[in-house]
Amino acid sequence: MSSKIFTPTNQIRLTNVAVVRMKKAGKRFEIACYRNKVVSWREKLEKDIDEVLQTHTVFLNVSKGQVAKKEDLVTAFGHDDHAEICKKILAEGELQISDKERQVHLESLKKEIATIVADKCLNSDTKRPYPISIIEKAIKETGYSLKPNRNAKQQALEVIKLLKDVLPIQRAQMRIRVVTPSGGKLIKNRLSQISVTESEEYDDDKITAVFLIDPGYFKELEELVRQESRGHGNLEILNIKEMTVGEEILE
Amino acid sequence: MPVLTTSRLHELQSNANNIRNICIVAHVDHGKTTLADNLVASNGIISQKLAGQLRYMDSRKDEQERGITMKSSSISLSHTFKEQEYLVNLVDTPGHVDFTSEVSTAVRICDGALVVVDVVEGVAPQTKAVLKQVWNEGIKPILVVNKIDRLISELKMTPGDAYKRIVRVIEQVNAVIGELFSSEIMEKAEKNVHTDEDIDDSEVYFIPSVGNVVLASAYDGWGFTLSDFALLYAKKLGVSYKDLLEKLWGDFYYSAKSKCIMDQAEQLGRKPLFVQLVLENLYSVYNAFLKKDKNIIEKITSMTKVHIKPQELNRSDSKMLIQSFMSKWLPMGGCILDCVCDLVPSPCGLSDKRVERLLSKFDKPFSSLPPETQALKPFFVSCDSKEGTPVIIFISKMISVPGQYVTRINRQTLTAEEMDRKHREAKDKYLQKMERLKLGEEEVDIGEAISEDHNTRSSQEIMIAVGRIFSGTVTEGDELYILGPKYDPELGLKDKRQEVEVGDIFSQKAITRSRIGKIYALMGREMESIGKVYPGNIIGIGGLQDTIIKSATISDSLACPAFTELIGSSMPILQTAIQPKELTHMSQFVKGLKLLNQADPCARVYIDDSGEYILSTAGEIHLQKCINDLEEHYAGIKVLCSDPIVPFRETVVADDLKKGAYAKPEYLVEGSVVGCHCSVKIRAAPLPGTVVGILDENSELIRVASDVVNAKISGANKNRDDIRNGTDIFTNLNRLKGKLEIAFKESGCTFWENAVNEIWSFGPRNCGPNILLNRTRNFRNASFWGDYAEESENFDLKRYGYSFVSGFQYATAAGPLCEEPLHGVCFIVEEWIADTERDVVSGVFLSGGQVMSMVKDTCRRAMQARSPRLVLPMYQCDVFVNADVLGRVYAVIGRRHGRVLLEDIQEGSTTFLVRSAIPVIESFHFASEIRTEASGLAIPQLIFSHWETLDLDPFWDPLENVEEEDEDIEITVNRAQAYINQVRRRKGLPVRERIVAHAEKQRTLSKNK
Repeated sequence: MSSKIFTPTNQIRLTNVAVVRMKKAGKRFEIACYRNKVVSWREKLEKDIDEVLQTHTVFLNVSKGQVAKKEDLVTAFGHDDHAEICKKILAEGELQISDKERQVHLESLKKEIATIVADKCLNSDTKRPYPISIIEKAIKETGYSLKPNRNAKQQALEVIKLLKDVLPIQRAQMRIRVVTPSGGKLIKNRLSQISVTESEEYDDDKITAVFLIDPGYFKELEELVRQESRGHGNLEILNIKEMTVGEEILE
Repeated sequence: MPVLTTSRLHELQSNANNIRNICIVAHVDHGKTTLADNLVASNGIISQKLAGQLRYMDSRKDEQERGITMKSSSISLSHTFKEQEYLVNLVDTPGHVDFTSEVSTAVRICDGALVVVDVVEGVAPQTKAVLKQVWNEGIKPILVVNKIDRLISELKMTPGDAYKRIVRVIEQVNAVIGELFSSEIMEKAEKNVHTDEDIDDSEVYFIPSVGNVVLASAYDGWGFTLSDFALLYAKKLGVSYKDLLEKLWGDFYYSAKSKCIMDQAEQLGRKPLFVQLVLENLYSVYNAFLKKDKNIIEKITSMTKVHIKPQELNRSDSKMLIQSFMSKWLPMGGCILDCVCDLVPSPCGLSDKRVERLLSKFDKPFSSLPPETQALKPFFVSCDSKEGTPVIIFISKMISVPGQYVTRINRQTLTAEEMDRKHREAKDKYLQKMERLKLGEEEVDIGEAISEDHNTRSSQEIMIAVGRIFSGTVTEGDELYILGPKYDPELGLKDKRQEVEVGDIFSQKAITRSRIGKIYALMGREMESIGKVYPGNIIGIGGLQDTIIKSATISDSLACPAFTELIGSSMPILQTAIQPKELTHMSQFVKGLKLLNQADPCARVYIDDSGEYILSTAGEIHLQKCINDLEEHYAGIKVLCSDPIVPFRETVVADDLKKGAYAKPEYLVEGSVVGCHCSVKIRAAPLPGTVVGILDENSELIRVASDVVNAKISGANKNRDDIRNGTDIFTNLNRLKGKLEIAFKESGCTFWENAVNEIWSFGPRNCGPNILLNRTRNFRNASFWGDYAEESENFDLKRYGYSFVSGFQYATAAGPLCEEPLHGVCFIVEEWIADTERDVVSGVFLSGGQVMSMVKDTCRRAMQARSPRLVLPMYQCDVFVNADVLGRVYAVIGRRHGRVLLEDIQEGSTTFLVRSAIPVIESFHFASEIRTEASGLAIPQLIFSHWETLDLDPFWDPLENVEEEDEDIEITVNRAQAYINQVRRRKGLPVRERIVAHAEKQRTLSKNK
């Protein structure tokens, strides 16, 4: 369309620009994109390239309007097809995250952390899970600040520790059984430190026990059982999450 | 009339013959509370002028603001009728449909009901509902045709038209009664109960000449029955009173020539007698006062001998003038109370039928009750207050009253002397206080309003049980049995006969023994403490807040059954998730919820599986009232409410049942542990529907069985109890196995051959409706039914079997669509290689965790290889609907993506039963929508029924397809996708949605250049 209509300007001003940069062959190449669109393109949610690119031109500097020279493009990319190079930069270049993209990211991170916490924890009074909305509120109260570049699970584990000051909360326990022919003494000692033992049979270094532990200790215990029993012991998960289920009517 | 003093109240309460317990019921805004105002005014508690504006019975702030009644409240009034003094216990009820439960509690403790109908609006939906309640409870109704003044001053009808209008309204009400009557007879006929051929139905209808119809205007404070006018005119016309009374209503006219009453007025074009004698007079009064014609007013006042003060005559507001004249000429309070005293039976007149209905529940005939219980019947009827009569009290509801309304001071009429003394005392007190303040002492609260027995601050809530004494006398401090609604006298009596220790009975069978606290007479907003109370009265009892939840029966005899539960005409169907605004208020919040649950007959509070507090209420207004109560009275904290979280399930598409489709190679997914010789091949398949059904039903059994199986394998020490239970479970388990076998066979697919024996585990949480099938060649022993760990020699299986199953448990707990549990998916393990020997050689050790995550991941991919589908929880919705609004109900169901399953007409009525299935997620505010659409003529009830797969590919994008096809096609949203995105967003999972839809349509944030 624009080719058919003559507009008497020699400057095209771009607004709402998000710049994507890429360094190659000692030169910095830039393309001009719309804000809040690049992430959607990378996630393949936006399929229309015209909704992402402001113009199919590769720049050396977008804000100054310097278009990349043909020879620079050829040395860096091997050809000077602007459209192709734009796509490449779009896919691989350094991205300036826009406001909404950041907002969405933080929001979903917050929700994800709350979901993980709600999934892993119980109300220590009622032995029932907390609704996500309560957890979210409690996180806000702890004053924990989210780190956008760390993963949700790690942060969730940190948050749980902080939450204990705000809510009656505990990690949901795992019910585990250990059966070993040898090395029972050490295992028993360790168990008494970290768990609530439900039933136990200890006889001449043999041990068979059912107990509740914090899921965080599972790996450690597994390692311990393997070493002490020289590969003959066995650790079984009976229940991943011990909690009260079913509806309860308040009376 | 004097204000009722406590001593007088006592005297009246002791004479059961002169007690009348009545309630006022009607559609919303038909004038119940105004009517109650008039009755209250007749006792001098409030001034006649304020009657109708004050709304004395609406003591709550929000009631006054909204102008609707939200709770039933009760007051005791005295009335002199035929030279005898009566005590009338009046209960005002709310009219809004949300509070139907309040009406049922009121109807239960009364003997009569004033059914108020607005003459302009006629019979409204709630009128029908309350008539039905009154009918079911078997109490005496009196019809009050209200707002007749509107016909005159507002609609400006001619007297003739007004007459026709009134006749029609009465006919409408009688039609409803007739319908109830006929359907009851039909029911009896169905049950083959012997009935007389022609049942006399004349007694049940409303007939003005019988006196059970009052024509009134509560706003202007007047009301009359035909007998009032018959008395007035009998002498004038020279006709006998009885004759006139009969002919005043109907097709009769008075012929001035022959000076007698003739019939067929309508045919002859004559004015009916009622118009001639009653309405025209009313009209002329209204006209005279509206036009302020002094001469006529004078004439009227002298004729009626009503004295109006001259300063009132000079007032500019003619409305006020009418009110003050009419309320003196035909006082409504007196008229209605006369009527009540005359027609409503006293508590002694309790009919046999009603007693039997109260005592026998679960449709058991009265004669099947234990003889001890049957022996109680005469006490109900006699209403005896003698010593030794068994005490029977029915508590219909709990109310919470702010402490300041509970007075201990006896109300007395003050003589001038006393007034003077009080005045002086108050003055002294004030002076003292001022002195103290001057001295700089701390201000001491003069604790008059504080009720000493409770030792509480006046702002605190006191729970009072409202009920009626059916028999016996109660004194404060008596110790009595409190029988819960589930109490069965047969059990209680049996225990007693065997002389089991009393403590034993209490623990199980819904009985407690408790001391009666203060006994109060209910005086509208206030409570008056009375030490002792006689049968037949409506009273409040304190000190029972810990023993009674919603309703109860109190007795000193174990033979007394718990009264039949109230007929629940409105179910709590609006569900809301609530939580405190501030987390620190959690404990107050929970305490408040408990109080709310106790005090509101229709509210239900529970914690659901996800840990949310769910409040079920009858409708939007009811919800607001509950929240208000919670915030201001019970908890005293701010709460937040939202739609509750709806759980979903995920499954795989169940279209093909042929073996070939199941066994397709592309459905077989492979997974392995990096760096180890461990790999697995799993395929996912939909389970046949019948199998899923069986699993859903037996989930509890499977859960217990898994526990037992686990325990058995471990060989851990168990007590004998476990083993006994274990054998029990195993017989049940075998039965389940048989059922599953049949179900698999019936599916008619060779793929499922031998599937039952291959079951390895159920998931999630070891009990869900998903199955792990073991079709490996090397681990044949892994099975749910046998304890493989002991038999199996295979060490790898023994070590990693549990991890493998745990992986499956994790996979079924969170599906690929939106991390919701799976439903009806079968994972078939076709190959599992775990060559640990070789790993050990190469120095790698395979951990259980690795196996677990491998299985979890492979199951998930296997499910994605099949097309996953969303499963929605469904409500079964029963709507009772009037024929005229059937279409609109269908429209609402359709809009909510519901499906009509059944439509059935109720015999003997024009009501239809429409049964439909509606997704739970679409059901919020469904009830209120259906009510508004059907203008109150439909009452929905929702119960969870089943899980249903939404057969819609969640990844199909309707927008893309539409572009290719016809442009006119309405762009619909992919529902499955919308639900999934909703859940994913809530959980913080990535949502497949663009952040910004149109790049160019963003706000330009650049600076001006």
